[in-house]
Amino acid sequence: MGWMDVFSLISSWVWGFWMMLIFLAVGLYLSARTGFIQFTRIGVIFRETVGAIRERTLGSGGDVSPFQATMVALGATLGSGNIVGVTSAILVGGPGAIFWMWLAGLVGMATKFGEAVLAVHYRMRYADGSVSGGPMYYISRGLGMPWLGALFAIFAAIAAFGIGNVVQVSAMAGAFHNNLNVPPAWTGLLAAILVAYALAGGIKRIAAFAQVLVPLMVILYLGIALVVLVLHAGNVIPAVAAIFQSAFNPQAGVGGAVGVATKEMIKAGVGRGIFSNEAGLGSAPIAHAQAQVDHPVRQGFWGVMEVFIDTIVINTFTALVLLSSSAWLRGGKPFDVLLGSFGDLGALKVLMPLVLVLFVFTTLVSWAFYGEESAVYLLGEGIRWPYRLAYVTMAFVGGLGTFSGLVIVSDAMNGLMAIPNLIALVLLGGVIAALTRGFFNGEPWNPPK
Amino acid sequence: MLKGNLSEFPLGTLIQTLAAAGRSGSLLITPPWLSGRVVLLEGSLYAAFAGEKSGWQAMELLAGLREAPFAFDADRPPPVEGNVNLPLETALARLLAVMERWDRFRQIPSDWSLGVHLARKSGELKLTPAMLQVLGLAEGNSIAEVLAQASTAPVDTAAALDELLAGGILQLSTPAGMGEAELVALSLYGKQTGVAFIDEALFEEWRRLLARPFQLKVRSPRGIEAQFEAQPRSEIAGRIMLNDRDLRRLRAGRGIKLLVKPELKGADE
Repeated sequence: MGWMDVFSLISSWVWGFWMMLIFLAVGLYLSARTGFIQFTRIGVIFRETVGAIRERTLGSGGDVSPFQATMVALGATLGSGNIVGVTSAILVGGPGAIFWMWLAGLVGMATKFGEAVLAVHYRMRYADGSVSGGPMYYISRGLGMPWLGALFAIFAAIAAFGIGNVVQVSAMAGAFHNNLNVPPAWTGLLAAILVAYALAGGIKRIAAFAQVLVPLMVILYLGIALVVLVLHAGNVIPAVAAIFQSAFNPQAGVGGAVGVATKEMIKAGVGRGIFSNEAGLGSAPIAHAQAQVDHPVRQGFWGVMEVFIDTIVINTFTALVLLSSSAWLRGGKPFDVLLGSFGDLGALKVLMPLVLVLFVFTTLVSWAFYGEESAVYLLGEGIRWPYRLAYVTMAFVGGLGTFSGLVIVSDAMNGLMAIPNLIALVLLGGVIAALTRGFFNGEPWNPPK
Repeated sequence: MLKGNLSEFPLGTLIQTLAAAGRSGSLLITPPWLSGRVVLLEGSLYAAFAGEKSGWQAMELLAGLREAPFAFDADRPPPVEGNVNLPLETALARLLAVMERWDRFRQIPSDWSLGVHLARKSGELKLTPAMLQVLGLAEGNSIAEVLAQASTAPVDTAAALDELLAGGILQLSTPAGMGEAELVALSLYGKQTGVAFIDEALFEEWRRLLARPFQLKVRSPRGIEAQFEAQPRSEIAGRIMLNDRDLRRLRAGRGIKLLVKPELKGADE
């Protein structure tokens, strides 16, 4: 058995069915510890997030506003998974997979809430006012297990090169080449230049990019989806009905999904849901830790909102486009299937690769930050620029091929990140609960020394 | 140049020390609301000035200052004519007696920039001529202005003012120059209402300026006003943290800019 086989095996295990059940179990556990905050405090969550977008900063330590931090996290979360991943889930599991994806999203909201809360609570503050945080810090400082924190950081620093870099640039180069006839080398070069510029400015510039690009791509994507839904308005209600009807009975699925086992449907829905919203993987907390907030719970609300936008809004729109246009019945490559749902709308077929480019670019930049912070945790400030240089080089190289070996390794690393993170979330569930209780009792936040 | 603060070196002790050393020069006393000068000539008390007042009345006024920076300038020439025509021992004895009287005025704060105004509530109090004069000067003026403008001896004016404040006829208010702060609302959750948290740096600044317990008057953009107990909280610069229910009463919400003004406790109650 070669190394690639080993990584493939790890990957199949960490992205396997049982692991998904663990993700759901941790989400349910955190939901219970926080009094099902994603449901019971939904009004507060919306007021504290969407209702507070116009605000700038909240004081306190941190480099970016809570909104900016969330946009960085959302930039990484929203990616090809929301387009290609959702399409794959429907192709494999039928419409019912979307129901399980929603369920994974609703449970994942508590997970992401917990991650953001811990990220802010256990972050490190430096004399210049800057901060560093994420699972490696809450594992190390909260659990007193620096070796486990280091393990997380190793996984994240490596995963960033694949899931956050080569996979993304490769997808972007493919879309540009197939739809606009742009040579892949040019796409790689463009990606490398843009990433180099964003990274050189640190988290502040990354956040400045994200706060403009992420809302823009969301609005653009939803606009495109809305056009398709209007064209197939008569099929939208039946599409929603199909999601619910086939959720527990795959036989009731439409066309190609007939006969798909319930387990496969759940696996497709939950798996793609987790992959899409990244709740439990531990990547987003690295961005949330940067937020200027007076209390960790306030950033936790943004964590909930991040999953809401990703899974409940974006993924639902993607699913409804596919189902209402019946494009998924024809089968094929996921991205081509989605393009097929636009029918003869040529303008949308041109716009869609551009939206995909935005999805990819924001993921590329946000993951660069995740990887860089993880590398700095392991090796100190000195590694920051060498890591950036390596990341930019890989962004260029990523345009030239698919690098299946690196992708397999990074997929495994990405999945492995979840293990130390989920352990910490369970063991620090009491801290999350106490901070949540304290916040709703009006108590001030006392960060650990 | 000898420098310090009257909170550490009271005026009586200071003049006694300078006189004992036979010094000549001007003792400049400069709180933000008054300009004072005591002139010594070869160890004798030669002249005194405090705002518009001069001579012994100026000495009486300066004797009431508990906190104020001072500096002794030995090079400053004395005025042509002196205005304190008392032997040193007599002057010092009278000064110490006046300072002892000032110490009994518990209602008058050390910060004389605070405003004085008539309270809404009525009460029975036998008014003296000094009190009548204070009442006439009170509305819209600061403590320093009332003390300086009254024609009665400053220490008698202070006694009248102290009694009127104690009787609730007069109230203190924030200094005229102390404007409203525009702070962005931040929601707070929990059972505790009626409390407003402001950044601890701002809280300390207002506490230092007012030198007395204060509360906050908050006005929403819709013109709704409410008073809150002021409490400090760290890391909320530019913010005012109010309970969500209080914010709703103000018809405001998180992110809304509110006008916040500190008020001395007891004012307008």
